[in-house]
Amino acid sequence: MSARMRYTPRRLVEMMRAGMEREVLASGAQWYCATCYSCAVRCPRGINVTNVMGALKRMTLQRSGDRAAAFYRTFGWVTRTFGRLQEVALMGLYMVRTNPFAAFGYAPFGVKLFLRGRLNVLDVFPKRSAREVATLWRKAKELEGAS
Amino acid sequence: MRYAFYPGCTLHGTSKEYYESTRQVFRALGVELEEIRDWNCCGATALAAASDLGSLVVPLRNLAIAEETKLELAVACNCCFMTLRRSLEAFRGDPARRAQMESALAAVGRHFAGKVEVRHILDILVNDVGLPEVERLAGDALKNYKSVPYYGCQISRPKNPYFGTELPDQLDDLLRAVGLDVPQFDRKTKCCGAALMTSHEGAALDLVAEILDEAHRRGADFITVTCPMCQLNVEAYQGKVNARHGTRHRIPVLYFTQVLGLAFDIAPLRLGLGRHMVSPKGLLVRRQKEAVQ
Repeated sequence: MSARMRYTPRRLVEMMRAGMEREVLASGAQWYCATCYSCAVRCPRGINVTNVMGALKRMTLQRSGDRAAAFYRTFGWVTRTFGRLQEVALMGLYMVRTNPFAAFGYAPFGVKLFLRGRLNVLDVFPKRSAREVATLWRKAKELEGAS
Repeated sequence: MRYAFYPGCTLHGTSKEYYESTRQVFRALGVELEEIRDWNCCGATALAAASDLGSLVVPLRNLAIAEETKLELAVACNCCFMTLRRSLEAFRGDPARRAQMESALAAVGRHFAGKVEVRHILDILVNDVGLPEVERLAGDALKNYKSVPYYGCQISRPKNPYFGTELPDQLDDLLRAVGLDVPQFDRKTKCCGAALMTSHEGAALDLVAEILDEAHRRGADFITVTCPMCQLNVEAYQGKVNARHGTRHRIPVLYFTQVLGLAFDIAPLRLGLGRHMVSPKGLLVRRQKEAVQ
């Protein structure tokens, strides 16, 4: 995916070293990282570049207008609310937040999945684990804030 | 042989066929999979974009539950496999992190000692069950077929003790053990685009196109995968890839457990083979005809 990034990872690192924080974060390059870890296992200095991209994502997740950011925010909310990933809720909410009209494009796809029994449309209640997941998350954020 | 089992969310949803075929094949091999109780989503790669510690403690809850069983934890999905291992390695390798993780876990009244092993079911089949046992159960139903092994990313990366980071060979060996012709496949661990298929579709379609093109060039009858995300991206978006690249791909994408099931002569519908977007019916018909001849 680096071919799609406005600045490739090597360039991003050099820019960070040069103090170009604003340009790095605004480039949106981090949202093209699909977390395949190819860079992490190839780096001759053993740097986990994927984690560096992760840090860039965290610094911009809340305010980024990128669709990938919207997708991760929605994914996180669904996980904490339901305890498990509810795929219908994830896609529905994601589309409401980005482009509700995209639902028309996805509808035939959804129908196909549904007809093959691959869509749990009735699975709408949070699992028992949901409360614990939400607590774990809150506690983790708290600990991160304290350190 | 007995394992604790973490299926992950998709195996109960969009990849039910992976769940069904895994159950069937492990039963045929006499290996018990005991689904852990009240498990939660591992958070996939999404949570790490919000909180690093959060993305470590959410999967940790599953490890704590699995540890109570005193069994090794079998995982089917590549992404769950990576996320659970990432949590385990942080817990074992970084004392400061471990203290924070323990403290978060205590907030929900749970405890973890770091004593569980996270294993991918592919690794279990190849190394614990063993290829001779697979060969023993396999008929020659797949003898005249060719398939490329597509591992995806997160089964082998970041580095883990089980799979080579770029050119693993366990799936190649397993497919050969059931009689398939397995050609070289350079893109076996190239990324399918994962979640970017939803947010940056064009970019992800181009990656899938590369995988499909090579599979086609190698003359594969079908692609064999180990991961629900790869399966959906490589199978369900073939129409969009074709529209974008002017190709005519229409190639079935099967889980390795379904392939094993076919070799073991388990009924196709029990392996979830009726759930595919690109129907493998043509393959099955050919198999039957050859059996009759």
